[in-house]
Order: sequence, then C-alpha cells, then structure tokens
Amino acid sequence: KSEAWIRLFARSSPESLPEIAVCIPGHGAILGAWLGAWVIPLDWDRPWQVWPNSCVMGAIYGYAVASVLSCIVSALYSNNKKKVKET
Amino acid sequence: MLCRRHALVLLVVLLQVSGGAIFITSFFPARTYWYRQSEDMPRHGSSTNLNGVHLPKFNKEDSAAIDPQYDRLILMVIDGLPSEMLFGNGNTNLSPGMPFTSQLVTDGRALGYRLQAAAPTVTLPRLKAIAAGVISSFADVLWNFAAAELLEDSLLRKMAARGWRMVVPGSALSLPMFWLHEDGGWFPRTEQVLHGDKTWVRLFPSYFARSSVVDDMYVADTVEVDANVSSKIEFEMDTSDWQLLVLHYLGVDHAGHLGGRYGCLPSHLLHSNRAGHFLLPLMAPKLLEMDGVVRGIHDRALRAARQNGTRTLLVVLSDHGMTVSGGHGGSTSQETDTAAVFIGVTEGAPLCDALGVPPPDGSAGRYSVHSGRQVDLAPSLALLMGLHIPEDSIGAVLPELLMLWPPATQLAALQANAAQLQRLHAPDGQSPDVCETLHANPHEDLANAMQRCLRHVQDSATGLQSSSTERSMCWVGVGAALLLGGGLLAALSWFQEAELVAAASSHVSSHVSSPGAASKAAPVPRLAPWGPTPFASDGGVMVAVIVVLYTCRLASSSLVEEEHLVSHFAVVTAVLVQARRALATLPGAAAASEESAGWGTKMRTLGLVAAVLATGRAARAWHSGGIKWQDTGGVASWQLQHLSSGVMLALQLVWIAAAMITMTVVVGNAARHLHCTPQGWLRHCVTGALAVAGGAIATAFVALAIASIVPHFVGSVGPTRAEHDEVPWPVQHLLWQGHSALASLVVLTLLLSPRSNTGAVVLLYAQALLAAELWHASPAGSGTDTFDRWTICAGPLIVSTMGVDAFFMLGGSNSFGTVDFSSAFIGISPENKAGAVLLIALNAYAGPLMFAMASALSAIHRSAIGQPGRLVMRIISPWALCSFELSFFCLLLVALRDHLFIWSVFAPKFVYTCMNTIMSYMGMAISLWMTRLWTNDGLRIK
Repeated sequence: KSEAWIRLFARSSPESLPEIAVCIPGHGAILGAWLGAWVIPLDWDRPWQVWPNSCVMGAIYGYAVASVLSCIVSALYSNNKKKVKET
Repeated sequence: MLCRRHALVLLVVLLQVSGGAIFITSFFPARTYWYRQSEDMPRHGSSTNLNGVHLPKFNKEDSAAIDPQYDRLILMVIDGLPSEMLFGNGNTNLSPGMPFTSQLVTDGRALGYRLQAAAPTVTLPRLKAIAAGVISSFADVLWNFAAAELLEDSLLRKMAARGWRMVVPGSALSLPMFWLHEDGGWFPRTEQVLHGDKTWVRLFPSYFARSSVVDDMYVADTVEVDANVSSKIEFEMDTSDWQLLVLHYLGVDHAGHLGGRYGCLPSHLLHSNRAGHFLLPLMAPKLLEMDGVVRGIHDRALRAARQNGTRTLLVVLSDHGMTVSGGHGGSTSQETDTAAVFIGVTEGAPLCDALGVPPPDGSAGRYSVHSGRQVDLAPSLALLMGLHIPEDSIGAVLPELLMLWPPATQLAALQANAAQLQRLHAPDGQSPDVCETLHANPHEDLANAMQRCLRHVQDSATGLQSSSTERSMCWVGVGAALLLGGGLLAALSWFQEAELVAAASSHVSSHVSSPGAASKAAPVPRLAPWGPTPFASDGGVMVAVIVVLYTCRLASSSLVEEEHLVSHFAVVTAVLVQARRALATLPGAAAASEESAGWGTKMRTLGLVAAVLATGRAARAWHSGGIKWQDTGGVASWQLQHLSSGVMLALQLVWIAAAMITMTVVVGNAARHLHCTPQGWLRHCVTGALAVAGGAIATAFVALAIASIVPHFVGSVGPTRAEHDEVPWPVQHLLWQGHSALASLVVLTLLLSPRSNTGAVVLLYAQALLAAELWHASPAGSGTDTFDRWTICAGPLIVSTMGVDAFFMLGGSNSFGTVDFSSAFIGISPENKAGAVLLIALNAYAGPLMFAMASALSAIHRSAIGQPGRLVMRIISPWALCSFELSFFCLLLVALRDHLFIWSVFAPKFVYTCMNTIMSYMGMAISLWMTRLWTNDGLRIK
C-alpha cells in the first residue's frame, strides 16, 4: 500500500488514469496552500489574509487548476497509450 | 585551482568594498535638508567667558517677533514615558499613571498632547527633535548615532542669542541604548558599565550656566538618578536667575528597562540576602513620584506668580515611549507614543480659560488630549517664549496654543512659522515670499486667513518631512554597477563550483553503481576554455532559479519586516522537500541486497528531518519578532512574566545540562581516535582556543577547557562505525578542534545571552548539528554515500538560510532596536571598546556562526571520507548567496528610492545585508585558513 502512496506523492509518477486523477490535483492543492501562505505576513489587513483562509483558498484554487490540468494529462496519456497499442 | 579562487574572491572583495562605499555615501546623503545660515555658526572659540559661563556670540539679534506669553520655561523631560501611561487609556481601562498631571489636563488648567515621535526612538535623536524640530535622516543615525554637538539651529541657540540663562541640573545620561536587557539577566555591576555622558551638555556644550551632572551612573538605579535631579529643584526655584530650566528624569526609562512597561522588579536584582521570589512593583511608584515632582514645581511656580508675577511655563514631556518589555528604539506605536503637557502658571486665569477653548466633551467637563507630532514642539515653544523659530525646524505650531494670543498676533505667529518653513523649502528665496501670498487679500476675513495660513503651514511642514532626498544618481549608478559586478562574479564562481561538483559526481557515479545516482547522472560536461559551462549542471540551475525567486522577497516591505517568518517558511519547505526526496527512493528498484541498507539511510534521513523540524519549531517559539504579531509574545517573555526567578534558574540549569551532554557526546565522538601526548594535547587546546576568539576572551578559554577535558575521559566509550576508521588522523585532529570551538561558542553565547534565551540557544545548537548531518546524508545513495547534486548545490545555501533563521530565533531582527547591548560589557572592563564590539557581534550572530561551523565541520568530515568537491562548495556558498543578495538589494533600493518605507524598512535591512556579507567574508576566511592548514598537512581537499 505504502508503495502507491510513495509513487504518487513522493516520486510523482502515476501509472494509470485513476492515479493521474489523484496525483495531479493533490499536488495542485498542496502547492496552492503553500503559495497561499505567502500573503499572510503582508500588511494589507484584508480578512482573507488571516490564517488559515488564504491557505484554504489557495488549496481550493490549486486543486481546481490542477484538476483541469489532470484532464488534459489524462487525455494525452490515453492517446499515447492507444498509439503504443496500435504500434 | 586555489590560486584562481583566491584571485576571484579578491576581485569580488575589491568590487564590493569600493561599490559599497560609493553606493552608501551617495545613496544615503548626509542631510536631507539644511538651512544654510548666512551668519557664522557659533563655535567654542568665539564664546565669551562670563562668570565661568560660556555664552556664544551672535551677530544677528533683533527683537522678539511676537510677545512672549511667559517669562521662563521649565522643560521637564521624563525619559521613556508613553502618553498612555501619563493620561491613561479609556479603551483599555488603564488609569492615569500620573493623576495630578492628568487632572490638570482634564480640568483645563493645562493642555495635554499625545505627540508622535519619529524613529529611532532613542534619547539623543529625540532630544534633537525636541530642541531643534528636526528629524534625523537615516544617514545621520547611521554615521553619528551618538553625535556630539547639535549643529542645527535650535531653541537653545535662539535662547542663548537672547541672552537667557539656562540651567540643567543632574541629567547624567549614558548612551541611550546601553541599558539593560529587559529581563535583567546577566547584567554587570553597573559602576563599571559606562561613564555617563551628559547628553544635554554634550548636545549644547556652551549654553548652560549651571549644570550639575553625575559622571558615573548606576544604570540599574531608578532612585538615585532622579533624587539627584529633584534635590536641585528647590534651590533652582528659589534662585530663579534663569529663563530655562531643564530637568531630565531617567527613572521611568530605567524602570522600564528593568521591569517592563507595567513592570515589577525581580527581587534578585536587589542584591540583598532576602530569600523568596516576590516582585517589587516598580513603574507605578515611579510615575507617582514624577507626579509629585510636577505638583511641587507647579506649587512653587504658582507661589512665585503670586509674589512677583513671574509667568512660568512648565512643559512636562517625554522623548520616546517603550514597548511592553520596556525596550525602545524601533518605530512601533508603543515606542513612538510620547506625551507633552503644557502647564502655564500665571496669576491670571487657568490656561484653557485663557485659551477660550470650550470643554470638547462638554457634559463631563473634561478636556481631552490633543495630538500632534514631536517636531511641532520646537516652533510652539519658540513662539510661546517670544523667540524666533529655529531655522531647521520642520514642525508646525500646535494650533490649540495659538489661542493664547489675540487674533492679529495669531496670524503673525503663523506667518512667522510659514516664512521659516519657506526658507527651508527654498533657501535661495527663488519662490515668492509666502507672507505676501498670504496677504494677497487684505479684506479677507481674519479667521479665514488664519485657517488658510494654518493649513499652509501644516501642509508645508508635512511636505518637508516626506520630501524625497536629492542624490547624485550618477554616483549611485556607479556604486550599484560595481556591487552588481561583484555579486555576479560571486554567483559565477558558485556556478563553476557547481559545475565541478557535477563533473565529479558523474565521475563517481560511473564507478559506484548506485541506482539513484545513475538514473540522474548527466554526461561529463565538456570544459570550455574559460571553465565549465554554467548550464550543464541541472542541480545548479534549478537552485539558482530558486535563489533568485527567494531574493525577490526583499521587494516587499512586509516580507522584510516579517523576515523571521519568511526564512523559517523557506527552511521548513526545504527540509520537507528533502524528506520527500528521501521517500522517493524508498523501496527502490534496487537489488534485494541493497534494499535493507537503503532503508537504513532513508529512515535516518527521515529521523533527522523530524528532529530538525521539531527543534526548529521549538526554538522559533522563543521570540515573536516582526511588526504584525509583535503583541503575541513568545516563550522568552512568557517566562519573564509567569515564572519566578528560582524556577527560571532551574530551567536554565536543565538546559545547560542538556547542552553539556550534547557537547560531550559530539566532541567525544570527534576525539575518539586521538592518541594524545601531553604536548599534542596542549597544542590542541591552544589552537582550538585561537579558532574561537583569537584567544582574547577568557570565557572562551574556560569553555574550551571544559569542552576539551571531558571528552578526553569519555572518548574511548561509544560505538565505532566503520567510516571513522577511514578518516585520516589530521582530519580527526581538525574535527576535534572544530567541535571544541563550536562547543565553546555555545558556552560563550549561553554566558552572554539573557537567562530567558538559554533554551533557544541549546535547541539551536542541536539543530545546527542535526541540519549539518541532514544536508550531508544523501538520500539518493544506498549503502555508501553517493553524490546527489541537489543536496550538494542546495544544501549549503539552505544551511546558511537556517543560520539566518537562527539569528531571528535568538531575538534578532532587521531593526537596530533589538541589538542586545547589555551583553557588551560582561566580563570585560568598560575601557575595552574592541572587546565590547566583539562580544556584541558574537552574541548577535551566534546563530549563523553555529550553523556555519557545524556545516563546515560536517563537510570536512564527509570530504575526508572520499566525497570531493563538497568542501569548497560549502565554503563559498553562503558567501555567494550574501554577495548576490547584496547586489540585488542595491538595485532594489534604487528602484524603490521613493517608497514610503525606504528609510524605516529597506535602509536598515540594507545595512543588515552589508553586515551579513561582511560576516560571510569572515566565515569564508576562517574556513579557507582551516583548509589551508589541512593541505599543509598533506591532504588534498578538492
């Protein structure tokens, strides 16, 4: 079991369509939350800057963007697979 | 190879020193505005001697522009009193600390002001602001922090020109920042600390007719220093041959430094034999005492007014505020919050009746407190006393005080202020005379004219304060170009090292068949005639991109203010990335025989990651620096507030025991293979001590002795690992010395830093050792440590960032206010200036030094067991990072030269960046010296 986790989130190399659907949005969410943390110390005094709002929002947006990305990657992946099969 | 490196480093040094000097002198002009007076400046030589009193001569003297409202002035300066503590604060239910004075204000017998001071909130610049109405530019603060005579035109100069007699009893004052650390931890017996400087006398050397000052001041004293001033009041009030009496009370500030803003004095500072941990309230009685002094002066002045009609103006004011812990120097609202109370004592009606100001919140009959800026004091006082406004003042007269005069005179006063500000704006008089423009319409309503005039004065005063400085952009450009060249050269040399590492790495990985390294190994790069191509090494380029992105944080003022959070975030991210990399190769596609060994390395890496994160998080809790969350406090201030001194002592002992155990294990580990003859042992001691502090500091010798004797006895115990046997003897020798030096640095830091910081120091020592291990244990390798370019390129940079993080964890910040000057004279005599500077620097930079030493030692160890290239990379990386940051930051300063926070945030940070670069040069010099020793011993480093 741990092998799949490590493959998806430590090595970032998914090997099937469902794995792509898990791996890429997961990365997007983590990266978004990380980026969201950068606005916390700024002195703009906005309500969304307060911990953990910006991180949560960053995670959501990151997840959304990465989901779209994962669709594209999936399409390319299955396309590639088809080609490999044909040849 | 070494020769070329040395030449390159030398070139960068030359570029940076010359560029830095040009840049700093041209970018930070000595003065932003300066009214050049046509008459001669008064000098000591030209003063007349009158009854042993030096009075400067002045050419120009004319009659008062405006009728004086008072005959004599008493300036009662209460050092470090925030207005909140004087008047109380309705929002937080803080009752007035000085009931009589605040009663005068609420009754309308005096006018109360909350005045905003400018940074730096230390006494000397603040006194200049009060007396001359000037705000020191950043360069003033930088170059003459403790400047002597005030050269600008000032109130006192105007008074002297009028022939006033001025008296200042008992205002001995040490250099304002040389006071105790807030927790009063290791503070020296104070007679030896500093010779008190007589600030007022020093600022105005020839003006005072009588000045009785105490030469040596007891800085932990809150009683004598004020009693000395108070004892003179009776005499002076009776003598009454003066027109200006300055009373400078230091007790409140001392009380703040000892016990904090709302503070209590820990009983262990009393030097008595009483047991117990009770606290003596310190601040409240001090404020009451000050209140009593105000009452006394008021009563005496009232008597004088009734007897012979003398009109006295008593102004109670403070020069700066204080933070909750009692410190000051920065620009937080608590520190810039100062008070001024104008108490006019005449036979006639009370002040506010004379002013005709109705009670603002009429129902309660309470007069409120007005607000203004500290520089407004000088023009206001000058006009009240019928003097000319000091020419360099950038203040506007406080409008409420104008009501003292009849309307026509009010307008004249405003016009005087406007004309003076106008002269500052355009010294050559090109622009039309402001009085004429103000008189444009002679039929205009007087009240309207006054409104317009007041607005004009306030606008031009504000404009002067924010006016951008004029620089010669040509020289700024030259300096920036030189700095940039230096930074780029440093970056280039770093790339070349990264290139060598890559070459060596592929060389090694072709021999060692390791799956992790082999999969990432690039072909051996072809060496260009001038050296390896920079972009051949993927690790180097990636790290460089990250460094450039990370450097962009300096463009944001908030991220500079909260840099402790940013650096911690970066460090935590880097450590987590390392953990991920360790996991990535976990079960590996390697052969079954290697898998178990691989697991061991990964688990070790993950354990190190956890330990580094845990120690870092714990140490970070000690201080909450920055601006945004400055009120949250930290473990250090919590300990001060909630723990009695006995408990703190016990905690401290526990921490020290932990530190000693760690040191024993580490140093013993390094010394295990030493077979010491008596002579050799002595030699080690001496060389090790030299490495710490040039052998100058006695404490280091003591620490070294402890650190070197203990492992001698326990050295033979403990498990032996195979790799230790591969380490040649001279390297063992060097490692042992280095670890002893590191241990003695920690002991020295423990001795210097306040008691509440002990835990953080010990945690950081542990973290430094763990982190050095982490960034040398390559997660990509299996049984033996093979190369991992990412770790080699990024590791040294991350460890030096961890050093920056440690600087903040020990309470440092990018503002001068947090430099701990109380450590300056611990264990050395006050005359020893160089020693004091060394101690302050060692204490401030203990964190970065610890990380640099631990990482260098780890690198020496690793490269001795067959991993070439790491050592030089390790040595030059922090230096290349600092140089690059410096050149990037000077470009940024040029781009941001009109930014609102250029002086308060970016300029201090630039000074810190320069300081960091100098420290990195020192670190590199020490490392190169050590490695040169090593080559002499016949070992190859490359």
